[in-house]
Parts: sequence; C-alpha cells; structure tokens
Amino acid sequence: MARTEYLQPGTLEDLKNLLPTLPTNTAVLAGGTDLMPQIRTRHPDYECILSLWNIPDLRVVEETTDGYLKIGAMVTHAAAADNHLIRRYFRGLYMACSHVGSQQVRNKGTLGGSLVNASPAGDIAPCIFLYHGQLEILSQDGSRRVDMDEFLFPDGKTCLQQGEILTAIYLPIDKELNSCFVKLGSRREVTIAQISLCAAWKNYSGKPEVLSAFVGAIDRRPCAFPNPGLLADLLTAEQAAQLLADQIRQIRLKRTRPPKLKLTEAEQLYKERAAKGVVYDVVELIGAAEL
Amino acid sequence: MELHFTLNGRPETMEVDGSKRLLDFIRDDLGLTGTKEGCGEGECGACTVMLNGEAIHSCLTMTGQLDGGELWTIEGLEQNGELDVIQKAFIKKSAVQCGFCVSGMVMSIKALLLKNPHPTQEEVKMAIAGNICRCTGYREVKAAVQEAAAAQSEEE
Amino acid sequence: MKEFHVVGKELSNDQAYGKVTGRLHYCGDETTQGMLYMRLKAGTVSHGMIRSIDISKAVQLPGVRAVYTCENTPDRLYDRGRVGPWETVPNQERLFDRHIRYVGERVAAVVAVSEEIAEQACRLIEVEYDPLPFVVSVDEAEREDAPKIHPDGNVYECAPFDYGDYASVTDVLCHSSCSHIGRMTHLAMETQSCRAKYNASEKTLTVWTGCQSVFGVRSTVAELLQMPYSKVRVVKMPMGGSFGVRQETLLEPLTSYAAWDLQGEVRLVYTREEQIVNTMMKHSVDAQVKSKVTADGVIQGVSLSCRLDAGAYLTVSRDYVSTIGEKINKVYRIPNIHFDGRAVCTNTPINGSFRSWGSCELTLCLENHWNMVAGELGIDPIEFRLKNIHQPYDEEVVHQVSIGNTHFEECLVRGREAFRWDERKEECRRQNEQQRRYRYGVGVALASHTSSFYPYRVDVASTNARLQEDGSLIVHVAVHDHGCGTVMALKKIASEVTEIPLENILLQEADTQSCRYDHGCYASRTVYSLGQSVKTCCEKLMDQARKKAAAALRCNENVLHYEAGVFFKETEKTVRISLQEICEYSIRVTGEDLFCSVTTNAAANPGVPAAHFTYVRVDTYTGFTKVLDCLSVHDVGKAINPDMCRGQVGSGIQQGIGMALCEEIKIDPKTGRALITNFKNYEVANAVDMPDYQTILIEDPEPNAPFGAKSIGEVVLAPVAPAVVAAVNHALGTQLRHLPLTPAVILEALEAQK
Repeated sequence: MARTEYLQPGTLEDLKNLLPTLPTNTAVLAGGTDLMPQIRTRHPDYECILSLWNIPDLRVVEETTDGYLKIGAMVTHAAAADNHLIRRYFRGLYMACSHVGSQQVRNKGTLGGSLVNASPAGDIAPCIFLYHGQLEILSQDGSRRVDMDEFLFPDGKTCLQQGEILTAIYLPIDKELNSCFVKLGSRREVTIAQISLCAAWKNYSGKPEVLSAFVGAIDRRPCAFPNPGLLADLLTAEQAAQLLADQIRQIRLKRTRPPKLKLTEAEQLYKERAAKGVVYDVVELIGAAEL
Repeated sequence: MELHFTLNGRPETMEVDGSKRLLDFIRDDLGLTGTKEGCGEGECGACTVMLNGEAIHSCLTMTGQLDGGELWTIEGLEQNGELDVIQKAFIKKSAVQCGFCVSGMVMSIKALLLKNPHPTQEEVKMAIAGNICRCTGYREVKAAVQEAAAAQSEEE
Repeated sequence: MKEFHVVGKELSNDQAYGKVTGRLHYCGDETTQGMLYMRLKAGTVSHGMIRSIDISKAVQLPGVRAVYTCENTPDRLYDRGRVGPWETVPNQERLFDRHIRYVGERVAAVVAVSEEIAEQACRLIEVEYDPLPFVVSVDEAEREDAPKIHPDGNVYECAPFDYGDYASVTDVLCHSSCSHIGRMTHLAMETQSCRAKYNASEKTLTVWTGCQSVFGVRSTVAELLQMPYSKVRVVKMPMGGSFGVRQETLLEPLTSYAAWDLQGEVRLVYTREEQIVNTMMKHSVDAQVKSKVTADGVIQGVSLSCRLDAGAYLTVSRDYVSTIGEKINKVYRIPNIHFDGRAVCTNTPINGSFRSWGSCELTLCLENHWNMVAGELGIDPIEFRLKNIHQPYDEEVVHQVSIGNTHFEECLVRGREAFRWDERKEECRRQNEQQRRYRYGVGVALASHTSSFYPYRVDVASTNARLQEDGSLIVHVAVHDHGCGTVMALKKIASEVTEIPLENILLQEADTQSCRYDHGCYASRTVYSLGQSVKTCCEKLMDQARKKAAAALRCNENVLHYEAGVFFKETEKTVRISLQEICEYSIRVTGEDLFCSVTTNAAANPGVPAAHFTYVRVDTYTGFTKVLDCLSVHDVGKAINPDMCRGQVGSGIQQGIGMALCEEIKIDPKTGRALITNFKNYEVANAVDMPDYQTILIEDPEPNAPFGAKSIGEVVLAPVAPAVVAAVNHALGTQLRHLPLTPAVILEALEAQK
C-alpha cells in the first residue's frame, strides 16, 4: 500500500519553505480532532500529511505593540481557557474554549483548526466575529491579515487556498469590553452546539450596553444578532428571544431539506423554540457581571 | 520518520510511519494493549493516554505528533511493583466493573491530579466527562478520584 | 446473625488488578504468530438480491488470504439465539445470504494478514443488487400487502395469555394508555470480538469469545461446521460489558468458519459502527395498556397489548414478546389479566436481547399506566402501589410460582422516607410557584425480575470443586462474568463455605472443556442458581474432607470442628488435621482424589423488588430535563458483593435515564438505515449529566438461596425510566409516554399546552 508522507516542520521558516513543495493532495494536521475521524470514515488517499504540531511559534499568546492579542493558530482550547490574557480580555472566548468537547479534545484541538475546519457548529468562529478579529495567513509569498468576513464566506467555506496556512488570530484589545458565551447543546458537556450565542458589552455609567452579539450553529456561518441592545435588560429579553426565534425560522425556511437527524417536526422546530433559553442565559450573565 | 520520545519514562527511538494512528502504534507496535479502542473517533475516552502531561485521545493522534514528546500509558503507572494511588483507589472504591473504560479513565484522572492535586467534584466531573462508562454510573469513579487525591497529599 | 468471612464484604472486582493496570487481555487484545484478521463489507440496499459480487480485485490484493461471500460459503441456516440443539428457533440466518434485508447487513468478509489490508480489500469488492420493495415502519410491515421479508411473512404473533376474565370485569373505572420505547444500543464499551483457531492435526477448533453462553456458541458453531461438539472448545473471555449484546451468537460462526476453512487462527473485532448496526439493538416497543381499577385504587384487571419491531430477522424477538407476558404478574396482585403481543419484521437493523429481557419494557408500560391512573384517581402514586403490591410468598399467576421472600412494601416505605417523598412533592410545588423557567417534579416506579430460569426451563447449574495437594481449591463452574463481579461473588461463596482464603481459590470462567453443561448467564441467574451450585458443591466437598479427617484422626466426625482450613477436636485441640494433610491422607492412604461434582436445579424463582424514586428539573425554555437526585431501593436477599451491587444500580440509572430522556438510534424513514452509527450523536449520560444517587439494599435472606442472595444485575434498569417519565409529567402536568423525552419532545408538549 502507498505510504502517506508525514511532514512535521519545527519552525515557521521550515513550514514556509515546505509550502511550495506540497503535493495537491495534502492534509494539514493541527490537533487532529477533526481530521482523524474524517480519515477513518472516508478513507481519503492523502499523499501527504503536513503537521503543524511541533512549531512552538504557533502556540504563542502575546500582546502586540499595536494593541492586539495575538493567539497562535495551534493554541489548544485548553491552553486558551487557561491563558490569563484571554481570560482577562476575551471572557466569551475563554467560556467557549472551556466547554469545547471533552478535556481530551480541548487538550488537542486548536483554535486555528476549529476555524479552518469551519464546522457550522464550531464554537470559536462566533467569538472571533464578535471581537472583530483578524486572521493571519501564511503562504509561500509571505503573510497577510484578513477580517473574519473575508476568511469565512457566507456559504461556510474559508478563503484558504492550497498552500496557505492559518497561523494566528488577532483580537483587538479593548479593556472596557466585557463578553460572554453560552451554548445550547444536546447535553451539558461534551456536546456540539445547537445554538451558541456570544455577546460583548460595555458598562456606561452603571448600565451595560451590548454592542455586538453573534449566533453560532444556526446557519453555515455565525450570524450577527439582529438587535444586541435587547440583551442588556431582563425586561427586553422576551423580545430578544422572539427576534432570535424569527431569525432561526427564516434560515430554516430557506433550507431545501431538514438536517438528516431532525426527523420530526418537533425536532425541526426545536432551535427556534429553544432560542429563548440561550437568550435568557446571556441576559442573566450580563446582568450578573454588571451587578 | 525517526521518532524520538519517552515511553512511560524510558527514552525510545524508533522508525515509524508518522501518519499511523497513535492508538495503533501503542497497541500493535509497542504491544501495550491496556489502551483500548471504544469508538475510534474521540467520543468515548477509552483510548486516553497522557502526552506531555495532558490527557489526549490516542485515536485522534498521529504517531508523528509524539516526536520529542513524553507518552504515558496505563502500563507505566505501576512503578516497582506498586500501583499508582489512582489505581489503588479504583480497587478500594470498587470503581472497576467491566474495566474497558478504566485505563482511559485512569489516565484522564492522572493528568487531572498532576495539574490539580485537590480537584473539586465539578473539576473531577469535567475531567472525566469525555470518558464514557456504562457500568458504574460514575459515582464510584468520582469517589476514587477523591480517595486518590487524599492519598496523594498524604504521601507528600 | 452469623458473621461472614467474605460474603457481604466490599472486595471490589475479581479482576480489578488486571483491569486497572491494563494487564488483563480482552479478546481483541490478543495477537499470536500467524494470526489472520477479518473485516466485513456492509451491504447498501434496504432490501434486495445480490445480482453479482466481484471479488477479483480483493483476492489479488497482497496479504489477502480469503474472501467469503454467499457464493462460496455453505448455504446452511443457523440461529443466533439458540442455546441447545433441542430448541425450536426461527433459523433464518446464513453466514452470507444472497437476499439482503437491511442497510448494513454483511455481504462479504475478507481475511488477510492485517486488519488494514482486509479493510482495503473490502473496499475493492463490487456488489450489484436487484432491489426489492421494502418496509421500514412496523405499521407498513403489518399490512396485508406489505412486501414479505421472510417467506412466512412479517408478523409473528405470540400465544396470548389470559388469567381470570378481564373482559367481564365491570363496575370499575377503565383507563387506557399507550407507551413507546425507542431503539437503543447497549453501548457495551468493548465492541464485539472473537478469535477462532483450527488445529488441523487434532481436528479441533477453539473459539475465544466474550459471550454469555459458551455451550450455546459451541452448539451453533459445531453444527454449522458439522463437527462433533467434543472437538469444539469455546472459552469465555473477559468482556467489556454486555447488557444483553453478548447473549446471542453473532461473530463466532463466521470467525470459526474462516479459521476452519483456512486451518489457522482468525480474529474479528467489530468497529463501533458494526457494533451498533450489526449486533442487535434494543427493540422499539409500542404498547397499549388498559386497566380496570376501583375508585379507591384497587386494581381489578389489566390488559397489555404490545408490538415489537424485530428488525430484518426475527431472531429472539418472538420469545422476547412472550417474556414480557410471562413477567406481567411479578409486582401487583391482579385478579384478571390479558396479554397479547407480536414481533414484526422490518427492513431495518436487527433488534434483540437487551438487559432485563422484557422487564424494562413491561415496567415502563405498566408503571407509566399506574402513574397515570393514580393521578386520575387523585391518589398518591406510592399509596396506590401499596394497595396493590404482592405480599411475600404470593403466587404469581402466569407460572403459579411463589415470588419468594419479597418485600415490595418495605421498598416503597423505606424509599418514601429516605427520599423525603412527601416533603419533596411539597418542595416541587413551592419551587414551581417561585419562578417561571424551571419546573420541578418527582416520580416513582416499581419493578421486579427473575433470579433463575425456573420454571421457564429446567435450571441446570453444575460445579466441580477439586481440593489441591496444598489445600488450595480449583472450582469449575460455567460462569460468564459480564464485568459486574459474578466471579468474585462465586469465589466468595466458595471461600465462605470452605474457609479457604480467596487468594487460594482458582475459579475460572466458562470453558466448554472444563465446565459441565450450562445454558448460560442470563436471566440474572448467576448468583442465585450458579451460586447455589457452588455452595452445595463446596459443602459436599467439605463433608468429604470431614469424613477423611475423622478417618485420619480416628475419631467420630461429629466431634470435629472446622476453622480456617483445619479440622480439630473441640476437647483436645492438638488433635488436628489441615486440608493439606487431608489431601495427602486421601491420596496416599485411601487412594482417592478429593473432588466433588454437583448439579443443582433451582426450583424457585424469587422476585427482586426494586423501587426507584427520582427528582427532576425541566427547563421549559430549552426542554432539557436534569435528574437532580434519585434513589433506588433493592430487595436483594443478601448482597454478596454490596459494592458491586451499588455499581450495578449506578449503571441501571445511567441506562434508564438514557432510555427515558435521550438515547435513541434513529432510523431513516426512507431507507431503514440506522442514522446514528457512532457515539457522536448518541446522547448517553456522562459524568456531568449523571445525578447523585442513593442506594438502599434490603437484605432479608431468601430461603434456599446462597447465603440468601437473589439477583440485581437486570432489575436495576427496570424502574428507572418510568420513574423519570413520571417526574417529568409531574413537573409539567403532561401525559408524555412516547420515549425518549428529548428537549424537542418537551418543547413540543409545552407548545401544545399553550
């Protein structure tokens, strides 16, 4: 049987030099938590595996001089959840990372991997949208930075081309900004989001003002929450829940057929009915943070 | 590729196929069958081993990722004929039934206690949430972790 | 009460050391020189005939030793559920069939020098099918004009059962309810595996398998290969859980055939997908319960009608339905009973044996019903049960057999107190008033189960015990430990009787070569039936030892006392002889080996009352149900391994919560294909979801049972799901009985309430 070539550069420089030499049929290995099950079930004949596992530069979290937090693409969910800078400035991302999969998955799966894999139910992408993050992409010609909108298209595909590697996430630091993330899965832990909702707010003279909110897992890529201001107050929570339910309904109506596991009408309508749960969770978190 | 790693504390160098599943490498090439395959896709935790001090799924790992790393499997915990505190606690608290989840469960707990010698019940649950057990209802397992943590701090 | 040496002590599992160190080998952990590996190819049609199957590319792949299909394997029928050759069984299966009846059914097998090559070769096999019309739902399959899956049709009725005259009961309130249980996977952590080795010089076959009946496997394999039973040896291997999935003969015929054909050793280990699709699932069940109850809550009659989806092959399903009927009178005194049921074949994966064989289904349907009736009558569900339960030694009417020393009342009353049932109910009311989002509720259910085969079939349990020259003991009994500690239980029984320390007793699991005949370890009979056999055998062995001791010491055996391996004269303690010395005396002086062989036949089948109490919180915004606390009360007679009994309770709760709330293998209504073939979408309670739970073991020894012990391994599951269902209904004021009560189902119900 044909052997798959396994390449594991030890530095960014080595990685860059490898890029032009890769066969078309190359799989990029980050944590492996998505790639391995795919290899197992679909048996693609990869000629080459390019592993980013042993590049220390890709695991760095640091503040840049221009006011960003740079998170290496190979930072694992566990490392992100443990990082004091992420905890301090990007609480929503910290909350998301703390509840991705199981401890084993968090130890292995990376933020970059999650973004590149671009599963509609991924927990990281909504947070990067929320913070107006940028992504650093390496190719043989050098590095470039793109916005989330340019990275992840509405159809759920990424802009990455053959020979391009996501190397870092840049999140602008705003010390006044607070944020949170909640996820409704099919059980409490080790679960894939059915709806995720993250919100960012600032406190203006004792009252939170929600500036932005993103919803994950309801469409091919995260959607902006229509009226984030409603999330600031328990009195408008019901209205916010209704908005989200409507948004989910619109998306459902555009689908040509329901997801394969949603056999009954009750299952097909579940997300819009349960929207209320995530909305109230977020409203309560904001309220509790600003007490 | 030539793989350099430490296996249960011993340095090893071997010629391997880097893209092979770590689980297969451990079971077939290293002959350490204590690490089990329950689902092959990182959902059950039976294949959990410790890589560089972290619990990971060996079924979701390529052998090449081990290069330069430190691997511990269940077989490495018993030292000089003495069981690890977690292993002892599993026996003492009757946390072992069919046993198929046990090696993965023990490795998850080993990684937890290395980082966090006095975990709360919540932290214990989170650490083993990815280790499915069908025989015990987890109560005995959770009790075993507290027992092991207590025994460990007594030893220190 | 007599103080026991080891019985009732908490000594963990017999193989705990091997399991915590990874040293214990399960079947799939074994490799040997020259071993060959098998992988299977799955069919892709719902129903059809194989028109052609091209194996030419697969055969040519280097490393492939054989490719098996319906075109090159014997056209012989066998039955996975059969234990002995005397049984009448459906006999619908072949190693490979040209007629494919569900998506995923095996169409070919490859044997190669590695699993990887075998799997690659499977992908090179090309199969063409002539599709046939098919049926997915039970409703369709029951129609007159439905396509037939087997020549005798799709519907298999079981004989109805009547006691008294349900129809003639009048002047009482009639109630009716329907319950539904979804398909589940057993989720034994170890996937199925089997090794078989043919020894061409001896013309013998050895099969290693984690099964529940070595003699059942042997019978099926020997007849398939047309070998004498004496030349086929089946050895039970450690198993990573069963929950019923290892009761039937699944991998062994094919693995054995390949080993025989290739005159070598072949191993087959299932993937998780194969484990879910190609073993069997838990039946989906639809049941209608009707009852007649007086206004003050006394049950006058019950009628149960149930329908099981058998899947593509009948296998054990008709028996399974009958068993539900046979268990119908184990809990309550009911003067008029009607039962009927049927199994229906569909073009879907096969359903079959599952933990408790009918008890969990029966309990779910009946307890759902009684909870509804109690609610309609305005009677507390525990009070309702107290009016109707069996009293100790009542006769159950189906077999007219005593239910033994059973304590339903104590289970309910002690549970009510320990669970603070009345206070909890009040708390729920308060909590529900205080806020809008969460609704709280409590629920209870009651169940029982068997402890032996009696009188369904003659319960045969045999033990050989051989005292060794150093005073240690070898015991052979055909025990199949599912991982729950039955070997430890039997060893404790042997040790308790002989006072030989546990570490000096070898008690190996079932092996057709060393053990005498046994039907197998199911029906929760191991401790009660095999335990009694071990106890009787060891007692007889000790009687022999006592006789030898008396002869050696030249005294009357009545004056001898026995303690810790030594017989001595009470009056003259220096006159003593150890087991080791008795052995020497026996061999060297009287010329006899000290051994004993005993067969016992359980002539009773004591019930095992089990009450489950649960307290839940339902999130009305998301539909999630969280079990906050629960309590299981079990009348076990005597807990030989109390620690393992509690472990069983935990597993029953986990499985029961799954059945009630989240576990379901969904079937594609368009193709009959299993839509869930992995753990990813199979929501099983993990360590975070599992509630804290309490266990109360009621111990009042059962007569004629080993140290009073009855069963526990299956009944732990039975009352859990209906208690959870009751709690959800209590919380929401609903009448939900179509399981599982997933968040989507809950929100749908709340929507309907608006």
